Amino acid sequence: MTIHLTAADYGAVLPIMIVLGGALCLLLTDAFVKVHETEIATGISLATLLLAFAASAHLWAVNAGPAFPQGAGAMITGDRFGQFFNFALLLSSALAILIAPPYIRTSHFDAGEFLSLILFATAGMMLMAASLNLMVIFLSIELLSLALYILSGFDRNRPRSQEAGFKYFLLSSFASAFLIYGMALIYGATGSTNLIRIVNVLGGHAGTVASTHTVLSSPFVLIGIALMAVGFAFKLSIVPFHMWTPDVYQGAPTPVTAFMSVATKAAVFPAFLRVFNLALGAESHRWFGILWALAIVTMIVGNVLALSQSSMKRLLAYSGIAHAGYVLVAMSANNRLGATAVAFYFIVYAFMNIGAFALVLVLESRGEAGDEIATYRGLFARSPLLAVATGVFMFSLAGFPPTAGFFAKYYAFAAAVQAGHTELAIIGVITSVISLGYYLRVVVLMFMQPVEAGAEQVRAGPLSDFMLTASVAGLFVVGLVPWFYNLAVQAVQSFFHFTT
Amino acid sequence: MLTLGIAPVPGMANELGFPPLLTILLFLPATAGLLLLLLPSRPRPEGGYSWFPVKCLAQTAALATFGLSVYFLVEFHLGNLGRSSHWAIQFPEHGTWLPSLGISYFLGVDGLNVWLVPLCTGVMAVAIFAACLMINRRAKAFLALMLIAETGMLGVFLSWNLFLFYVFWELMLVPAYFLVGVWGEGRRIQATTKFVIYTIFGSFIMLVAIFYLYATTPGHNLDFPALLAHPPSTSAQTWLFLAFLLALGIKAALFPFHSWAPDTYVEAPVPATVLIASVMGKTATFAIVRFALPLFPHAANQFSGLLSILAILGILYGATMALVQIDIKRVLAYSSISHMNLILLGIFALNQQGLDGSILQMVNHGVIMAGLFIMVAIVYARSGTRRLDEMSGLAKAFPVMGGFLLLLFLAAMDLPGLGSFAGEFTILVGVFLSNAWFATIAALVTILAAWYMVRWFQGIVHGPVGEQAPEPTADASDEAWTVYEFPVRRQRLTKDLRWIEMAMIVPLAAVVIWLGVIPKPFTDRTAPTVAAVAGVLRSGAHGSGSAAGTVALQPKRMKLVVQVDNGVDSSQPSQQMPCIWLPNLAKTKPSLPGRLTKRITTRLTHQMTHGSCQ
Repeated sequence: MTIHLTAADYGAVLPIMIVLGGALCLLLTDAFVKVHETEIATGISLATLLLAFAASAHLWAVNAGPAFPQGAGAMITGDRFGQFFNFALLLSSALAILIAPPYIRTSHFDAGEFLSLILFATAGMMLMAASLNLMVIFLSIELLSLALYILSGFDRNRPRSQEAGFKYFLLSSFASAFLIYGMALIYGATGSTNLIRIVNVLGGHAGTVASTHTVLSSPFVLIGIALMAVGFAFKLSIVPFHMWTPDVYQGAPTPVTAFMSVATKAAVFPAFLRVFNLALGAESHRWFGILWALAIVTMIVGNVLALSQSSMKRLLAYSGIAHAGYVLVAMSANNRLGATAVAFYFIVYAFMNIGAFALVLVLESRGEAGDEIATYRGLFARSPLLAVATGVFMFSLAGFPPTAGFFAKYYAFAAAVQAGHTELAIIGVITSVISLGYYLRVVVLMFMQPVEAGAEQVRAGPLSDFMLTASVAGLFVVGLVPWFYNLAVQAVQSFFHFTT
Repeated sequence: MLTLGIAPVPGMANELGFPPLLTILLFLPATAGLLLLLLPSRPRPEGGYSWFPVKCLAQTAALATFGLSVYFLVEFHLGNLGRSSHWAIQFPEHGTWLPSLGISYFLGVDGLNVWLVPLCTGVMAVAIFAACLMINRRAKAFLALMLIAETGMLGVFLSWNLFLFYVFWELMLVPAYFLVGVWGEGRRIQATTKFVIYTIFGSFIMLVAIFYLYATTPGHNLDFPALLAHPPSTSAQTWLFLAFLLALGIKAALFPFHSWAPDTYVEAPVPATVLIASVMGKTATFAIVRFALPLFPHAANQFSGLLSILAILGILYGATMALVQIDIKRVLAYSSISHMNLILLGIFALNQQGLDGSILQMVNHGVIMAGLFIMVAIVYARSGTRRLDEMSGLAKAFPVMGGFLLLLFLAAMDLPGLGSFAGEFTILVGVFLSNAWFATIAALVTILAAWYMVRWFQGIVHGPVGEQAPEPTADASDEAWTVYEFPVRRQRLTKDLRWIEMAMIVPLAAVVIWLGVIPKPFTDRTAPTVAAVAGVLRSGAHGSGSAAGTVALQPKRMKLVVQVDNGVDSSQPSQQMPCIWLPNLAKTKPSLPGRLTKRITTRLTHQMTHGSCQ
């Protein structure tokens, strides 16, 4: 097969190329610039992300039509669905970079290296969100994982960080093996790694009914589905493949944790959706049971285990597991509203989860034990902005209106009920009640406990202040203004375009 | 034939009108609350902050909101357009929000909320006044939260879209959580956590029911009229009704779900107690009448017996517990639970009288409880204790205070001539009509109410003038300041009721007397809507389990009937034609303030003197 690259093909990869270019540029400047290193590197990476955002928005505007844009020999696509997740990825990357500089300085990191690795990971994630081919999915998952392995162990003088990097590396490679084995089996059964061809083979567009039936009953397909589900579930820290999450989240440098807690999921879920809801969408009865069980177990285990944590990063790790469960509920609904809910969820999740890590980060940058929840006593008196913002993030994570966290959860569970799975919604809301137990504990400590005598005021710094204010504002605006939801609806229209 | 005035289902794309008065009413408090937070805090040289500008702004906003809400009371269109019964949504404001999910911004006034909205704004104005007097630590945040909670509660009363209702339903919880948790007394954190977990559990279950309604209603429309037109199947109704009742019953302190209530009422600072006990509880009883009963009429009939028994148990339980409490605030907390269950009993009678009485009693109970809880603070400022066994004979030293206590005490005991008598009597009539046994038991239980209130009253004001209770300590321990900040100098007051304290109690007392003497303007406004609800419930009992047979709803886009105030329709609707009231405000009338004063004076005096409005 010869590949003819057209302008449209380059257009589809433009945002990704920009981020990669920015990362390389960062590495170069790092070699020459020695003064104000952190400031310059932060500036370059933020500018890169902004540029990529503009390119992504341009692609969104260009690809409005019904035609399904495919780039680079149908390997990747510049469709709106991918662009929407690009927005979420660029947003979470930018939010994490905004709060990182004080931490980089106190930990004596090499800013250029650190931030360029974050950009490399972002590029891998964007590639994953755009991929239309099982091979590209695998390549991009490796690209983002390699960067994240290094980032997790970046604080190499701290044993916890080393442990995190190593643990993540070992378990993640193991899961990658599952994933690629599953892909190989699917390829063996359908004869293609291209998702659209797989749809055609499985959906009966290309073959006769008889041949479709033969393909479907093939054990390869079933085993392949199961193995790929395991691989994705590991990356998404879905129970029972979640064991690495708390350790890695706690050990990794806090900006990395903040970034990967949102961005990894925002990258893997679109690929997960493309493979399961799109390529295997017609066969949902074969995989629905798996996802149904995973979602239930994930919501319960994540929320229950979070109750007993004394470390904020571990708490947020388990909360992240629970949220992956909520998203999985939306995904397993396998309908338009469900896909919309998944897309919408990550815009919201970027604001509230990275915001929640900001508190840890600000305190740690001051040399305090910011990871210990007990140190939040009376935080409102020490830093009203930080406390109020964190309070908003907690309420949003818990799903209180009018924050966007409520809307995201609402759409996710409504999708499940619409698909006829009320039980998923019931378990979802009951575990949400459990989640109040740990979210409110943080709120109680910050607002309702007296501050210890002699505690100093906390100032977060201008960039962090900006990030916190923007995230709080974002959480109200994204939920209440229907424009954002309609954006997600449009994104999903392109996704479902060629199945209908 | 029952005909319901129904707002059009898909029509009315963006009918906010100008000026969107209900929207202004709804968001005025929250906007003021957010503005408050932006005001700078001026430290005082002697320590602490000067909260005067903050308090002025909060009080002004609360009074303005109350004034605006009275406008809707006065402009409310009476009468039923010559139909047997008629459920019209007046002052509708409808905006699209997320049409694909059935979510719209839909506000309106009908007979159910026309009195509860001024109750909310009026009691909140008093509560904010009380807060201005009582709260001096972080007063700005306290007042802002009170105002945001007011918007939440108003939203619950005014919403006609189920999603919008739910958003406000949860919105009011968050400020209440902080009001109790930050400014409360000793066990405030346990109390507020219990409060939130209890209520949110029920609310989330109700949320699943809302998902279900969204998924099953044709056209995915969560507007109330659309839901009313397409009632769920009888089997689904059972579960949906129970899900709603779980959420609403918890908030209304229905018997087995009440246990958050006494702790929260007692541990909360007095203004927040007023907010939660007087107004927030009513949002739940109101929502039962607004949503749970008419949307699931078959299930409502099915469960009315069981729920009535629970309510009777609640009346009994609340009264018995009130009888043995030592703390005067806790006595009131349990009496409030008892009364709330009586209101619920009236609702579960599912007939005109029971619902009428319940709505009247919601207003009465809100006003009386606000007065009583504020009196607790006033008494405490003078006695230095809240324990019944440590205080006695306060009437000797503080006769005026004793007088107001007497009035509120009599109101709580349902003295004829005061508001609560009319309400409870009507409730009992309604219950009697549906089940004589329940009515008999409930009437007997109210004797207990007299007993505990007498014990409460006597304990405070009568008896020998005992030795003075110890001075409240002015120490710096964490809890000391929260106990009661009424006198800024933390000492017992020795003077009788001051005028500034009377300013809180007198308006409440006046309303209590007014509703007892002249309940006609009240029932005039509620009766048509209540009749419509009762009609839906009757049809649910006998019909195929749904009201669809009786509700004439045209599927196509509805025509709006513009009602000119002289009572002549510009286009006479047929019996089948659902209609919506749009009092044509801007075009036919002079300026709003001038009209408002004229209306208030003419219509209210006319009603009071002639007992009728037409």
